Amino acid sequence: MGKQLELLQGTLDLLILKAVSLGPLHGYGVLLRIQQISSGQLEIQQGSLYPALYRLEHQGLIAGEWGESENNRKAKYYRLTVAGRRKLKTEAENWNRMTEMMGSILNRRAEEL
Amino acid sequence: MSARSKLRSWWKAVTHRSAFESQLDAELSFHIEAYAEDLMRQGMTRDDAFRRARMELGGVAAQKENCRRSLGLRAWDDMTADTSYGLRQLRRTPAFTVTVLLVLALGIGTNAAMFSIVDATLLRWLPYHRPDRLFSLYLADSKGDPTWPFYQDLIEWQKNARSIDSLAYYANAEGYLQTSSGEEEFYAYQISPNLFSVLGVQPARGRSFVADEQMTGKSNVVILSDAVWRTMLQGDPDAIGKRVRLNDKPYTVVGIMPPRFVFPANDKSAQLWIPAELTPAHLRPISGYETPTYEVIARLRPGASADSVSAELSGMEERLVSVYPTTLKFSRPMTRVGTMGYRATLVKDSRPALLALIAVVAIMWLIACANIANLMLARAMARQREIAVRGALGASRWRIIRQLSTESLLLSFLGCGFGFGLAQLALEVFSQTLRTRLNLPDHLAPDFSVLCALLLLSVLSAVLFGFFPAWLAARTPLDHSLRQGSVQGGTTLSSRRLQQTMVVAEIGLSLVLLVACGLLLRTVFALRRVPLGFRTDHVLMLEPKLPRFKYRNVDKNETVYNPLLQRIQQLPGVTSAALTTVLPLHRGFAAILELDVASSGNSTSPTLKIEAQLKAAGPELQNVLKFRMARGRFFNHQDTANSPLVAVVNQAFAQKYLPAGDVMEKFSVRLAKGREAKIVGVIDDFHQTSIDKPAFPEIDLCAPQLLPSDSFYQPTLLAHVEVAVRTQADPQAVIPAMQRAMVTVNPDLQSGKIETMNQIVEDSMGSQLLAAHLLELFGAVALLIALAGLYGLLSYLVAQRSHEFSVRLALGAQRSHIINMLLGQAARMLFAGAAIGIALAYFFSRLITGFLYGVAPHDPGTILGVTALLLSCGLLAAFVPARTASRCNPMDALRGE
Repeated sequence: MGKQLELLQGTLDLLILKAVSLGPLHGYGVLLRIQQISSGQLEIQQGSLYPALYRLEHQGLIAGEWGESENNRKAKYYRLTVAGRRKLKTEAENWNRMTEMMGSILNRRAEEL
Repeated sequence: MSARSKLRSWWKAVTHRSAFESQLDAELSFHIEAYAEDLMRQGMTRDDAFRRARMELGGVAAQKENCRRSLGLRAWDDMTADTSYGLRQLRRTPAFTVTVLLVLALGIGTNAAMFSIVDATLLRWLPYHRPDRLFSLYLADSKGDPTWPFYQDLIEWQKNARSIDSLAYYANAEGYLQTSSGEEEFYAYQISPNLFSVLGVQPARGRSFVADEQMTGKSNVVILSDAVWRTMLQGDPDAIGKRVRLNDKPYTVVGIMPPRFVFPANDKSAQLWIPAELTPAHLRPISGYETPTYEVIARLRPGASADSVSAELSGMEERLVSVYPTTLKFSRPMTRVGTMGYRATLVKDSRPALLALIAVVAIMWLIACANIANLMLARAMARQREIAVRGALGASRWRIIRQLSTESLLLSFLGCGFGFGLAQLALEVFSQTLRTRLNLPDHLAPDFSVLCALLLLSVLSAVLFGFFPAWLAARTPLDHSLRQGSVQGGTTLSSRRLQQTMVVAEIGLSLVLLVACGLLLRTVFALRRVPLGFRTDHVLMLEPKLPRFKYRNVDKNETVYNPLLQRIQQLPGVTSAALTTVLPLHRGFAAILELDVASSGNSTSPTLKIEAQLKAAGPELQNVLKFRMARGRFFNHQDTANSPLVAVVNQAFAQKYLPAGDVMEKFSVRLAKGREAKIVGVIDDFHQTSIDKPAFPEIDLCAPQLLPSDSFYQPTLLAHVEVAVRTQADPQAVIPAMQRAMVTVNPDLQSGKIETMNQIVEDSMGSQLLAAHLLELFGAVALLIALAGLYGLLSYLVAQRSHEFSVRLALGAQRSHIINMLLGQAARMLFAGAAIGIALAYFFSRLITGFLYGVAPHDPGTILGVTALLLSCGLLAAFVPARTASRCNPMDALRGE
């Protein structure tokens, strides 16, 4: 297993939306879920997680609700809102187009031009 | 969508702040615990696990701050912190705070009062649809003086004018409404049936008039205002169709207007309206005085302007005038039709005064702002060290400016609040005078637009007096003020220069107000000194008012006025009393006589057009008013109905119409066929219409000699009669007895008005007196504020430089030398301010030229006198701190090092 990848600028919001889209999560759960999906390859700075969650909630993309955690503690669970789902879809499309294009550019060889 | 959710989450966080914070805490501590538990499961000790968890989160406080920032709570937090800090700072320096608030309250309060007045007059709300499209139409002569158009004119306009959408007309009527307890008089108007639809207002109940109701026999219908309906009919819901007795005739109520509707807009809201009845006189060709005239209000077509209407109607009027009878064409040479916005007609007399006063309060506000800016600057300089420390601890310059600006805004809003209260108080105090002078509506309450203007004003004030000092304070290099150990180090040359500039500006602006004030005071003195030509002391004027409808076919002189006169003459304390149809300086009724006279039988000589005021008076009038005769005699008791007819003219008449030859020989007044009055005397001129206008030519007829059949009876004794009374002692004391006498003679006289002549003289000074009173007040306040500014600045400078003065004294400087130095500094500022002020006053005094009498707008005496006053007051204000400076003890300062 190689070095953990640094998060690209602006991708944290998208990752949080994706994580939450799979089911309501508390903040720590979001962290674990992202590590889980990326098979431990993505390292998220814990310090930037909560401001991002608050920002997304402020924008109305996710909604927080207090509930019980696995070990019967009170925790704030975030779920995707309708606007969040729409945002995730368009952002994911953008991201795919971008990576495709970047990939094709970076793989070009001199003789193909 | 996003903006709304953002606002909602921000608002929730702001309003439920403690819940927000505790949830944030709970969320973060849950995170730490959950993570630590996971770590412990991997074999870490509890303490290590928690330490690691906390470390990775990166500091709970910083986390929380970042979370708040993502909600935009940071700016809010800064603001609340700044506000509470600012309030604490203001509480700590009560003298400063109170001074600033007082000055600000004065500056803003005068503006608020003025705004309310302007809002109620120039920008007045009118209860009509699109009132800005309503215009008054009138006939204008070559001088622009208006007359009401004839019925035939306005019918022609109504039919043919393309630029007018609709046109309505109206005139005064009598409005004595019968009640169970007697008659009560209301403002009544006879109107064209379409008036309300032209105004765009429909009755709240019932209907408007219909065209048919202008016909004789169908015109006994009335529409009541809401106020009359409520008071007279107790708001009876079934009032429509009810009968009322109006002017002793039965009328049917057909409509009730909505509350707050008033037309014409410049009188009280208790009004009623009846249809303008069409009589045969309306339909005959225009003949002169018998043809009815009306005031006209029109709604303009979209796209039409006042000028285009005036041009179109003037063209029409030219054709109409050509069929006027020749005498009328001669006496009323008017072909132009004037237009004026209806709202403008309501304030046309007070407009210049209002505009001048707006300029005055604006200047006061500038003075107040300059003054406070100075105080703020001094304060910012004194806090230089605090600001430098903040800067050293990492506050950005913008952050410091924002913090200082918050304080200014706080002061400004507080000052605005006090100013608003002050304005209300001032309006209460002045309301009586203002109401009579400015024709204000019943309720004078600041509305939404006034409050908006005030808010804007206070923010603007804060920017003016707060931003520059803050900017200047934040600009000074940090190390500079930190390195200098003493508190005095802060003052920089640029800030001191700015302060001096502001004091100079204040002095200049105050001088402008003082000059205006001085000129108006001179005007009032000049008006008071004008020889009126008659005595005003111990004179009462009584205006009997009779319901016309009751006395239409009765000789009021025989049945009412003469008995009243006899009764008054017998009252104790009354020396003499006389009837007169015209009262000097009164805006009452005055018939202007216009007639053509062929001089003494010579038919070839050109006719002479005479324009003179006609008056009928009793013989005692000379005893009451004590005017002098230039020649001959006034009427006396030998001039009775059976003696030879006599008349008297004034000198203006004699000089104007009979420059050569003997007026008493060559001129006579023909009352009726075979009844010629001989001129027996010439009165010395006195001011009949107003103090600032010269005497107008006048012909006096002897009241006891006039017969109802005489042609001059109608415009004199029939139209309007007053009783002039000379009393022995204080005229006020006689008023109750006279009131009782009036009612005993005839109960219909109960609403008669009694005034002292002195009061009438005061009233006739009108706008000048009002402007002078207000300006006296404003001028004094401005002077005070400017002097306080000068004093404050010098005291501050002295305090700043006390160290320097001590060293100077220790090195052997004379105390008088220090006083002279400081006074010299003050004098430089004063002279600079005075120079600017005189230059500004030169322009500003043009604004008030219209109010001046007996003094030129650039009167050097006034300007010099006022300047001298300002300079001497200024030097006095400067002397106090200068003396303090000269008294500092050298040892104190040196020891303090």
